[in-house]
Amino acid sequence: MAVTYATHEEQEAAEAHAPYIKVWVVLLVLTVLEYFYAKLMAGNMTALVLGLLILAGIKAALVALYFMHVKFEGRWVYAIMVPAGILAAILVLALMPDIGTAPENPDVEETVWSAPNAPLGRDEPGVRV
Amino acid sequence: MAHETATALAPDAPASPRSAKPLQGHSPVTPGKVAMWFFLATEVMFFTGLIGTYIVLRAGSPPTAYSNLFPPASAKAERPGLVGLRIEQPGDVEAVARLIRPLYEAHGAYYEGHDLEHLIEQGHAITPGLEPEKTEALAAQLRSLGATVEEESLHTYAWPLPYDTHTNPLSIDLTAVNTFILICSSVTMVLALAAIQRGDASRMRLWLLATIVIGSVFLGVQVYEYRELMFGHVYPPGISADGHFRPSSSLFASCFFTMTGFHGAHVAGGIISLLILFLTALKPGRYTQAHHSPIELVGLYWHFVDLVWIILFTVVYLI
Amino acid sequence: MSTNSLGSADGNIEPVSEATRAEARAASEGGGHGDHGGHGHGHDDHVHPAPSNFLTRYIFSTDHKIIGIQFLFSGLLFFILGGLLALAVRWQLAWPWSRVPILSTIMEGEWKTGGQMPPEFYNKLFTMHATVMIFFVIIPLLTGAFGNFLIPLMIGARDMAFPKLNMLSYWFMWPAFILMLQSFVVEGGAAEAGWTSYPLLALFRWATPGSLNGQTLWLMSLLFAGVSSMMGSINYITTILMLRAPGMKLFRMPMTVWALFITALLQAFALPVLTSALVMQLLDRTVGTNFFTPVAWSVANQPGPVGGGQTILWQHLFWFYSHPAVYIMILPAMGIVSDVISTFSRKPLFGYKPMVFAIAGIAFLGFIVWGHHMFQSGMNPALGATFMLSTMMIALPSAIKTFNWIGTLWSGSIHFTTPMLFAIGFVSMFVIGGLSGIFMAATPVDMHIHDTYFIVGHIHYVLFGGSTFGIFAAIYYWFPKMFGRMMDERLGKIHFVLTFIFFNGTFFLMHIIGMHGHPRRIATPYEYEFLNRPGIHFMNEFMTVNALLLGASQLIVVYNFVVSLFAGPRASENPWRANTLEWATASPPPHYNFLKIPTVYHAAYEYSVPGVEEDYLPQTRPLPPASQQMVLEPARG
Ligand code: HEM
Ligand SMILES: [Cu+2]
Repeated sequence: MAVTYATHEEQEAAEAHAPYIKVWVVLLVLTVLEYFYAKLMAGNMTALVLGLLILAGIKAALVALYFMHVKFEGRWVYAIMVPAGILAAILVLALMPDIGTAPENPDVEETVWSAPNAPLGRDEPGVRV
Repeated sequence: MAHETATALAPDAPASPRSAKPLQGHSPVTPGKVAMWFFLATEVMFFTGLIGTYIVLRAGSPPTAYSNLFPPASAKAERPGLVGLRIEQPGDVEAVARLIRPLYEAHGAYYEGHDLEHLIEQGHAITPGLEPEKTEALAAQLRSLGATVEEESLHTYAWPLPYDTHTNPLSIDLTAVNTFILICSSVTMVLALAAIQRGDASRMRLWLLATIVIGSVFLGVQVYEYRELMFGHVYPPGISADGHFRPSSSLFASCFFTMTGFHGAHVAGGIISLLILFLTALKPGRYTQAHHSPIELVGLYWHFVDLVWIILFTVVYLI
Repeated sequence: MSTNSLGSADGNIEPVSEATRAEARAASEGGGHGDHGGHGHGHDDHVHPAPSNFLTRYIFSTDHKIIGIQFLFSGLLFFILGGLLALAVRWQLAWPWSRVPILSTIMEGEWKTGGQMPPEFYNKLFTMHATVMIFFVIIPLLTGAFGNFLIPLMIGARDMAFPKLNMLSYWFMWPAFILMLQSFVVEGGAAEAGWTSYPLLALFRWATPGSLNGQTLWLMSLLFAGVSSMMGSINYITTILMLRAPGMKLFRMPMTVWALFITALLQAFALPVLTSALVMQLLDRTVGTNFFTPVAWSVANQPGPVGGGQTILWQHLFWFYSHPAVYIMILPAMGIVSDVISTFSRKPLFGYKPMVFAIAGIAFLGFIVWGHHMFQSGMNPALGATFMLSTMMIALPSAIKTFNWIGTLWSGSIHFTTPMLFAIGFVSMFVIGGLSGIFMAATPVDMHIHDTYFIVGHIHYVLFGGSTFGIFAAIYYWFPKMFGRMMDERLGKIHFVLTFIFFNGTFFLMHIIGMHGHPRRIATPYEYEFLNRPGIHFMNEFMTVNALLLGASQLIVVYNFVVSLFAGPRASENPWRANTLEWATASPPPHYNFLKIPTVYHAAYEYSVPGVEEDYLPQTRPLPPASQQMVLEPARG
């Protein structure tokens, strides 16, 4: 939002010469980075999620700011997208306690697996070799 | 929020109808743009429904939902200490298949036609987890048929991990290239807009065409990927009980196909809009430096679809 | 899709005939006022006549007024269907397993029960009653019919921002209508899982006959209705933000427009989540995805799907939309009632700005209370407490509104016209419905009354006593503007009195049997010992008799509507002497709404202004010098 233009024409001219190619190169570099980061960090879930989300966030922001011209647009775009983002966050957060928490089943080991020959599951016809 | 929006739109008392008055230093606000951004907000909520569902279902997936030895969501994977056999060299494929097919079926994995034989030939077959003693007996039987086998102990996961070929059929390499392609189509789109903003209609046409072509390549690759997943390849039971990765195979498959499928549908919609733009742009003077809002609006949509893909690629494939 | 191909703001201005152009020029020169220079682009004087082709004029029309009237007619037709379904439900509860008049005769061959209604047919009745009433009647009437008809007129625009998109939004309702009607005749019949369609009942094809095919059609139908609403809401938002007449500041807009604006925002942000949920349920049913199927589930020894999903996920997603949806169904009615009450009290609306903020507050809070429908669904208790708190909070803005209506009525010079009667009926019935809502918001209380007839009572006090009374008020109030003729006042008043009495007779006792434990959605309540009592039998019969009379009373409004449409006395431009802009043009308004786009000088509620001869002051007339101060403070009270 830092730049201000005196006229509409200057504004359009600025848009027309925005550094699209530079942004494109940065996006590609970030994609390659993501690719190798994911390869390196496979197995370390926390680092994977954090790092990749940051990289993806930067990419998404670049697309929005430059390609979608949010950088050149009035603040009204934020007035539309920020509430949508907040509601999206509320929805996902509120789903977490019910659906997003892995069901702990402390009984499994004692009740089922302490008896080695207990039935294994719904369609268990018994193990035959 | 509503108030803020509107003061930005109507700075002085008599709100000016229809005239798109440029505000100092910002792009002009037109009804088309306002509507497009609201439409994109609804799209955000729609994809939140799908991606949010994926996130919470994944977070809530029990730790034994996927394993290298059993089909997805099999209760048998809850039992620790089981061992399976990876059949590396099949020997007599037919005989090996005859031997292990009942074992597979007893554990809920039903391979049709010659799928099981293909799986064994490709060296991807893993027998279901059994107690170590039983596994040894089975190994002896398999060796007698000329197969080389390797013991493989039970590993369970709450969700298929990237690059884990026992549980995850997705090819990250292919999709990384495809992501690359879609990003390229986004830049050609914005170059088309920049061209017409400079008044260069013929460049704009070229960039539009490039966007259509590159977008179609993306879609083509996705169709190819789907075909391989659903029909082309045969996968071990840890991916799907019938060896094919289809929306019904597992919760992972359901989420994957729904999210990427709806994204693909959006890409297809974008390509159709771009085609219409391109065809109308063939008429000289249809879009000019002063009047090119359809290019800008379709562009907004196209970049949004690209943006969604950036997120999907990260959360579905890489994580 | 290319927005341009759907028609941009001024994309569909057609060549203007010489005659209209001359007329427009004359008008603009005659009534010129030079102090507003901000709109000199010449668009304002572009008027063009209605298309002369019948098809483009009345069927595939892009005129917001015609589209509004199309929504009105289809909504009212489905109102009749929904009402009949409800009467059949009532019949079964009062006189279980007896022959239902007419219905049994028609269905005898199908049922093969000697005229007794099979229980699964009862399930279809309440499911389709609610679905039709909510998705085909109340939402389309409030937002589709009145939203379309009123928004451009009330803000002083020639049409919606995107007229062709507007037309599409109506025509997307038709696949929805057809699929829903078709579901009655497919194998297994219409859906049976309630309008809430919870899995697993809704998921497995063999769960109920209605789940065989009817449920799939139900889902597809609602997808179409949802797309229609989306198109409408984006159009309304853009129109209200961009096309207001000169001087129509946001805080000069009538409450009806404010309410429709915020409703459109609610739809834009909530509906896509329902769309995604509908899509997922549809995929679960058709291609076997596993979003809502738990692991290792099988019904009737059929092989089950892989599973791994969560049934409660559907409930969350559904209510994330459907709680805001209940406000989609009430906010426009609140706006309408505010305008009607102010007009017929000949007084400014009490607390205009607080009213606007209350609507905005309800809308925001409406997004964070959805869990109050799930207290009994095995939701995490921490969530339950949070949702209980936020639900209690929503009563605050609702109360603000109620007090402001009463404040408006207070010492006003009240004219008991039919729209006013319905508006007052709305306020009083909404109080009852809102209060019962607070009962249910308390988790411990809801544990007892959830899924009982108490809920059904609440629903109907807010949706019939509230939304439907609001719709009736709107029909009586704007009928002259829509059709250029007056409705009969005497018949209107009789209609109101009978509706009011029989409405309460039908629904009040539901609270009592509900607290006694009478479950909803059950064809055989009397199989429970504690319900098989003369008192319960009597109350059910009483309610059914009242319901039948309530239905019969509606014949009065049908008669009044049809006769007035063709033979009512001609309406003047402004029969109610109201201030808002729609009354500043002919009745019915010409195709282009206003010959000259009006200039707005003040808010819509300048009634009984000191220094003005008449007791109203249209928004198009400046305030007299004596009361100039009010310009600074347009929202008094
Ligand atoms: C003061 C405001 C309100 C409060 C506190 C409130 C609270 C509640 C609660 C807690 C429930 C769930 C009861 C249960 O199932 O156990 C409920 C159900 C319902 N409410 Fe409200 N409500 C309010 C206003 C409204 C309004 C204005 C409408 C519609 C115009 C409405 C329509 C409904 C409907 C349709 C249901 C039943 C949904 C179903 O299960 O089928 N409510 N309300
Ligand atoms: Cu609610």
